[in-house]
Amino acid sequence: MSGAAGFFEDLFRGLLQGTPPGAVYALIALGFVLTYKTSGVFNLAFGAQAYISAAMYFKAHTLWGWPKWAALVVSAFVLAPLIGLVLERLIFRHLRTASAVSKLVVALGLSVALPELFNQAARFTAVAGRQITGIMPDGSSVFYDPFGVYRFNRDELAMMAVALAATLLLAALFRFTMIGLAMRAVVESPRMTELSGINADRTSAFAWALSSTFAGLAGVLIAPRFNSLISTDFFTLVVIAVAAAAVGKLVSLPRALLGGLGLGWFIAVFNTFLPRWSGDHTWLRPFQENLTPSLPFVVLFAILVLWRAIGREREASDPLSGVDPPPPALAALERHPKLTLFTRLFGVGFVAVVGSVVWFRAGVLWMHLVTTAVIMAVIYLSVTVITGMAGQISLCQGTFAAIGGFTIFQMADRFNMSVLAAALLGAGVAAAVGALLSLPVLRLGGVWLAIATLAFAFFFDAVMVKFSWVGGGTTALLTGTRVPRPLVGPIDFASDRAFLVLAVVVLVVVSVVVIQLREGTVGRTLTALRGSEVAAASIGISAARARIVAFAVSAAIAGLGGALLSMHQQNVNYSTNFGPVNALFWLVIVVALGARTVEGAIQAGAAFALFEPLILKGDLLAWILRGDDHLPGLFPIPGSWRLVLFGMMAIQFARHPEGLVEHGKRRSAARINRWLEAREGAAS
Amino acid sequence: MFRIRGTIAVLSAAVVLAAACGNSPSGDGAAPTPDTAAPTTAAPATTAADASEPDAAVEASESDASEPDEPTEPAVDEPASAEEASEPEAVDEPATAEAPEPETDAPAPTTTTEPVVEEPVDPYPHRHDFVPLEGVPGVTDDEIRVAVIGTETNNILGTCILPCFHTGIQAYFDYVNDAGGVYGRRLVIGELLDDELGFNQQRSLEVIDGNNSLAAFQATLLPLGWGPLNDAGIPTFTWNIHGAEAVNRDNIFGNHVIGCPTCTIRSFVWIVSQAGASRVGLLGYGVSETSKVCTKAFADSIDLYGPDLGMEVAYFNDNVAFGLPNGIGPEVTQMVDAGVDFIATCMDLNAMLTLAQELERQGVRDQITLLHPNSYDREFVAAAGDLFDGDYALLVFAAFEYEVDSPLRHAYDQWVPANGGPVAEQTLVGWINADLFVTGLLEAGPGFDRQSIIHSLNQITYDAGGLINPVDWSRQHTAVEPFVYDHAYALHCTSSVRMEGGTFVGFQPEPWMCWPGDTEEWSEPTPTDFAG
Repeated sequence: MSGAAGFFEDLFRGLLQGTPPGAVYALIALGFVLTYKTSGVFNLAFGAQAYISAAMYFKAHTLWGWPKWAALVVSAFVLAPLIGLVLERLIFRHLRTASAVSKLVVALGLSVALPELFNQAARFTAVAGRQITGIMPDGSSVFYDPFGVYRFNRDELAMMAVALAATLLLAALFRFTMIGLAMRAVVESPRMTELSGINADRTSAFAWALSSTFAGLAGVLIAPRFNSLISTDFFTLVVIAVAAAAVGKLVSLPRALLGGLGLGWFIAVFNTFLPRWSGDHTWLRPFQENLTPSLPFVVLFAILVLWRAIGREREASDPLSGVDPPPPALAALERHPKLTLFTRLFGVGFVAVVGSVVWFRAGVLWMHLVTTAVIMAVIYLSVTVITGMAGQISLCQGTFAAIGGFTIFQMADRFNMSVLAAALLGAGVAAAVGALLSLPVLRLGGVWLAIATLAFAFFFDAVMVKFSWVGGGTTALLTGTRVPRPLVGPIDFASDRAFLVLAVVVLVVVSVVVIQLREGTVGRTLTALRGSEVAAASIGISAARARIVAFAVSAAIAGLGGALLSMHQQNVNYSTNFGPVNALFWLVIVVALGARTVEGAIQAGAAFALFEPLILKGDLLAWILRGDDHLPGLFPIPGSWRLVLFGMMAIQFARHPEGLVEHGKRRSAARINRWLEAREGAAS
Repeated sequence: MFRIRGTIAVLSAAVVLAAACGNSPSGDGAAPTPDTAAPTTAAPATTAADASEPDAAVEASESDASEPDEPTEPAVDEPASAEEASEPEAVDEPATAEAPEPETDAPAPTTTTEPVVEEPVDPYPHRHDFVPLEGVPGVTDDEIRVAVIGTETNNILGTCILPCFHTGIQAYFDYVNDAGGVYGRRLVIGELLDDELGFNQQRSLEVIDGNNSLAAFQATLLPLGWGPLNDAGIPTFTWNIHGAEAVNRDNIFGNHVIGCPTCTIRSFVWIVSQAGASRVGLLGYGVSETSKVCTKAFADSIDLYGPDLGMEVAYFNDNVAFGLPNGIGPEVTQMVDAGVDFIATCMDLNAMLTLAQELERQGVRDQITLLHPNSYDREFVAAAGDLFDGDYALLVFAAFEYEVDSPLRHAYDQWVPANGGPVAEQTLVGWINADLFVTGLLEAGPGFDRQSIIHSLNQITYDAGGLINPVDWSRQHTAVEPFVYDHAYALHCTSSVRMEGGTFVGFQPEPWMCWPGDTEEWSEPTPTDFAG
């Protein structure tokens, strides 16, 4: 065979090999576009919905022995639309006019909560070596070789056929049917749709049922590709498929199909030829080694950053999308001065009492938990800056924290540098990375900024962590990423109590910095930008500079917190602490409780570290009841429920973007203000 | 502007202060000090001498520096008789299996430090001597309590980890208790804690904080609690798949050790030769450093020994995405194009299933042999039918398919099924860990405590009655790079099986095939039975 013929045969085989995974991406992208077109929701929970149907199918068919058709009907055509209807009725119906960012946060909360809710409710767990079987009889063992170079199995053919048919049917639905038109109209303006005699609620419910059915079907069809059913795999696939959906700017179904297939082809061809070329040209090998696992995320990031039409899309479709109402003033600024004084006194007293109990009574476990809470509060203050102050959703705060952790590991290991100095260096490195990252994503804003940062987090996870100068190297190989505690003069922070003091000091310093920023020029600039970027620009405010500062400061705080957490655990523990999916929970818990205030971050830190032992394990109730023996039988509740509870709480973000705690404070402050004013009025 | 300047000034002062600080020398998070005495070339002649003089090797090992304090002998008021000890007071016991007839009256945890004698002699005649102990955590006059921590909920591998590990330990404890316990006390699992994947550190701290367990057992996917347990001086017995977390921690023991992660592996090369293969493909996960290192060690082995044996690496990829979300079609195609006839991976059993299916799709399944590092699961292989026919599995313990004439194996075969557990890797790991713990107790003597158990174990070589390659705990807590004998196995051994018709089949003449540990030179393996 001649060289050229061999090349084209390999190319053709690569394209065929890329078609099944391309169809996977296309299926998810189609569902993503369908959800966006019919609800206006950038539905990152799509993967969670797909996972639930796949798990249900697996349970029904593989574990319970149901026929495939029955398992398919129940999982994809009963359970999936039911979930969609419930979500629409309870959550998204009330969010139709909410901002896209609010809907994104709600979807994030659901993506965290739904899989765990299903796992707990259905007692579902992965089963080793028992893959989900496809919907076709002998789907994985009967092959067809239409071109004589690559064999497709039945399940793959079914998946590709469904992807093609779904594109045609959905396109026809939107183009030629009244219900399709009505679904799009409801997204644009529910009120105008109602005026046209269309029941917006019913239309929206149908749209959600349809898109959720699609999620369920996609989940069942895709699942045989996974080794075992894990919800995070579905989330990662959704992130990859967003690149395909972005090709269609989230609205074009045919382009989403082409985007998905194109991504599959590109990856397969890349994987076919680059290893071969890197064998001949050694300079290509680093690219081959590092790009291969991260290619989907690089493609996604490149599409978002380089394709300028993405950034302009929101202005073209919705001229008011960039204008959010200004956030309500903080409760602390509006309440009666006496109430503020009382609250602060109570706060000081509470901290003093709790601090004393911890200092004098806590054992090693509670000392560890409280220290963790304090450090997580430091990290969460980075969310306060970027989300609470700047109004941007960053999904790579875990990456910035990891940079801090890895910096102290490398500096201590290679240069025996003081970990405290290394922590500050790590904060600086994280700030520099944050500032650099903000440059290309500056113009994106909103949901695209969130997705770009998520793609960066996955890229860091897939590529950067493995470098010997980041998380690898001989030391990491032999003894892991262990780091020492600091030593300051005679004070050895190897003592847990001393380290808690250090963590508290850092928290206080960072809190002061954040408050200074919020009340200073930077904070006011960011507040102005949140209100209206156009109006802010008209008075000479540089949006670019303010956002770079916000990103850099936020990243620095996260880096410092990550370094502190690594010192605390005496190990970076990257995959446990800072992985991209794990760090999503950080955003969820902070926005659920309060992203705009320092108190919100502290409460989120406490909730992260103490909710499981205090509430779920029943320690608090046992203390109240004077003993474990009196605890009801439902204790201890599995720790996974905290993901469910805080994920569900995050869905309140659209209604109360200030967070549930701040919202509660506002309500109680208003009530007490009224009572105080009435009392003063009566007295006068 | 004033605010920013003030903030910057404060932060600058903090930087200056921090730069003047140092790092705590305590705790194992301290930056490791390079061993300047360690040779930098593989297997120097002096190490051969060390091999023949184990005591010298012990003296030379780094463990001297971190040797625990000499155990203090507790006051022995009135040693109780064995008769008294064998009838402990009734206590609340977890449900235990009905006792099968044990083959031996007294279980004999095994070490290779004892002299070989013609007649069976109990190496621990004091095993039933009762000594009242005070202030030893987890120990009462009736019981010795331990904690078991592991992953059950959120187990992403889907394999039986904590339940099977627990069953193995419980079965061993039942076996020992049935013969009168240890030092007049029953062995009891007092705490059984599911770390739910992410709470290992917290559960370990609960054990430390509660201080109600003499020792801890760990079978987890994320070993965040091993460091705290080690620092707290609690003897900890682990399913040691996390080599880096156990290294340089003298209180952490396991079912095996990873003394030299990047050393060449002769057993692997031998398996390739057994398969009659010559062109080897290697696959590893990019996300896992352990997997990458394992893949590289395979490649180095072929590079070192292959030229003489007619083998070469025809395909190498240590960047496969975990979970194979994109399938493995392009990789298999490249391997087929490269003429690969043997594929070794450092991936989980789920990935092996996907790989085998892809080989079948591309019509080359019967032409390529697979080496499975993690697929020793009878149910899994049975469910796959003939998909894995002709493949090999590489183990770190004596495969069940080989006859090991060891009381420990015979007892395992009786007591684990009696406890409802499967005869499988994880129950065996629990069983071996429990035996190691009891060995430590018996070595420490009736006046035992945590420190004396650790100290005793760190002086012996342990082989679980031939079920594992003997581990010299006096020197094998340490891993070094590059390879030096001082911290490696005395013999490099494998226990391998072949897969046929959905079952495992032994093909070695003895449970173990071994090579000398003091050299990396190629030689034909020696069939070995450590129980013999």
